[in-house]
Amino acid sequence: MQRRDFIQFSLLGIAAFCSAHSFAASSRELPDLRFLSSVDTALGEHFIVAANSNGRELFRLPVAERCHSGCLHPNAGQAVIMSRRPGKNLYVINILEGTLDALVEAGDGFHFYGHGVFSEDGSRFYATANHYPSGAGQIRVYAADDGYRHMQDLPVGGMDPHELRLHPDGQRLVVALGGIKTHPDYGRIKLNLQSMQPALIVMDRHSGEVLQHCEPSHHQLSCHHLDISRDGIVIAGYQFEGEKWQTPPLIARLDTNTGDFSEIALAEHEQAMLGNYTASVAINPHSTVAAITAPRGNCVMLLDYRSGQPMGVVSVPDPGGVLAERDGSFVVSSGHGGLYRVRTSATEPELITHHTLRWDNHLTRA
Amino acid sequence: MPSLSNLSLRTLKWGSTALLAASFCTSAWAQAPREAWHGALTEGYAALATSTANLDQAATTYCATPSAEQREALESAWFSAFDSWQAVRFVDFGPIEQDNLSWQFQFWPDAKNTVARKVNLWLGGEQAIGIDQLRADSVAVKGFPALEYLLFDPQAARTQPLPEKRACELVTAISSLLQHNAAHLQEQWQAFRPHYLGTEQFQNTTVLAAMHGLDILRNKRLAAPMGLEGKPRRNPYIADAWRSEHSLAGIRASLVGLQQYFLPGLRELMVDAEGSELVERLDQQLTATIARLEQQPADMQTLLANDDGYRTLQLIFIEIDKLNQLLSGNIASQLGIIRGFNSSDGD
Repeated sequence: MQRRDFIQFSLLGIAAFCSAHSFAASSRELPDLRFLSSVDTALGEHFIVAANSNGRELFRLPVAERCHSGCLHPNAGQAVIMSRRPGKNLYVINILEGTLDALVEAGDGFHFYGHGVFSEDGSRFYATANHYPSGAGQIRVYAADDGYRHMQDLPVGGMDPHELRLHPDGQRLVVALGGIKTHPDYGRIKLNLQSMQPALIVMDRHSGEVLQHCEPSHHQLSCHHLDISRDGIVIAGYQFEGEKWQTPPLIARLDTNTGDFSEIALAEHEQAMLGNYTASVAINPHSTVAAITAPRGNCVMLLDYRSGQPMGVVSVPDPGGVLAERDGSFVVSSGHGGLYRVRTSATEPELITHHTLRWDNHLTRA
Repeated sequence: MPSLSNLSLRTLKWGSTALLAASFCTSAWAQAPREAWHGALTEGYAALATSTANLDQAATTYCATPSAEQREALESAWFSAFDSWQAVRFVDFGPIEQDNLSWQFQFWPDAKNTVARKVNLWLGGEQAIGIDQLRADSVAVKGFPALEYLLFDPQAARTQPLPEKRACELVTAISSLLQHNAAHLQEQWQAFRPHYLGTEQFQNTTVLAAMHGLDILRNKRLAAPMGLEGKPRRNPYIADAWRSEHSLAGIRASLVGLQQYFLPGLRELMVDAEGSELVERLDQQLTATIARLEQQPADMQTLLANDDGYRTLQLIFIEIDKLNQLLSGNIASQLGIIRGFNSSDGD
């Protein structure tokens, strides 16, 4: 089946007379949440898949490399998905048609880390990148309203900027710095585990000024992922690069209103359940709950982001991506192919559906 | 583990005392496989420490009193140390994860020929050569492939042949670093013991490490040079240890390692009739594959060069594929182990 046929087939199942506006037109019949995710098949082929939270696949685009995460354009019917470290491509996807609109390369001496974010009006796109000859982390700024022309680079003052989010004020960026040095010549090898300097920073997206720089409690707590609430509270997830037998805190909380930065420590056995590694963070805008996926611990941690209090751990095999639903629940994707719904009221996840593919680290709202 | 993670934290807080009591009761049998693995790998890491110490000694002796005989002794010490590394190479958890130790022992794959580039920089430079200077440099220059390049590659000899001063300084510094790293690893493996035995997750981690090691062996070390994976073109240079014509011997050493250091714990883990039958089949298949590898008249490069040789490699591939099917198929499914995608290679 050709991709176009497949898209039409998928959408026909949802609403008759699919037009280019089928996503919008069929919103009454569809669940609220649609998303994009990078996936691998069992044979190791790479795709970007669009699906909804009923588990229905809407389209899939073949890509040459493993991709990571991205961002929905606020109004253009587009989303950007980025290749995975040390990849060099930014895929601009028409989410109405299920087609690739453009492919933008990182530029000489740069590779992306796999995350990006749009400004509120969609005119700018900010992508975390490595200037690998120097190892300096940069935010590459693109004119999304002008064919993704590269405009400038904003240095983050450290290495390995990974996920970033736009602050609800529309002016600031919050960036997780992993602190890990890599170079494409060495693939994905981490070159500075003894001297890494991770951080969580807040940056002015216009001037590039770093307004706040928070350091994790251990220099090997690599700050990778985050989400920010409507009221400006950041929850960030770490990956610990130190000795296996240590169980340092893995979740940080930053109140951007007051500048208060803290870490959420769990009891030792609870901390150990996370396997020293977190993948995705999602804050539910319809509740006070944040979800953090922990694939090495095969679980999803729920916490009250306002108080910082842990609420529970739900067992999900190999969880990667997580997105909040309007009803307060979360959709979680698994590397084993399952899509799950996780609720704060239940200790077990609900299996929504299972695909014979591997959902990669993140779900990107579409 | 599953029963623990199914519980919410609220439940855990109330039920932790009962759970702890239960875990004491079950700890004796549950730890048995990990005790066997830890013990076996203690031997494996000790063998690596001894063989790298011998290598270090052979390098020092050769460079102090160079002769054809000492050169042969040095090369033979490299083969033996490389093989003892291959035997424990499947272990991808624990102290080996620290400070890129695994990469320091063997930087591979090396698609861009970084090893040669880095070693040539040292050979052609004027900076002092010592273990501390090497520590500060790239992983590509710290391990077995860098030594292999110096010992076996004519290109290195054209730049500066052994036993000339800088080449010798580099060979002794790399050997010394290997020996230090192996001794450190051996020591840390002992420090790791309580955590390894006390953490149930390591049971699956250890099986997954062997599965992963066999996958790399089949797909990257054998299928890829045969043109069966990636580019459909025969290419001996993407195998490991091609410079010393030791690619197949290295594969053999890895299989011997699985037999010596992985099977004992697996035997403790799979004690029912069906389980022990599967372990027995894995053992026999390992023995058969090792025997086939020992019969090879030449290394990968020669065998890839003609169709008869290629057929020989195909037969090896079939045997190794059977090993993979047994371990990643039957045994993993019997143990309920599913390989994680996000957990094993996330970002």
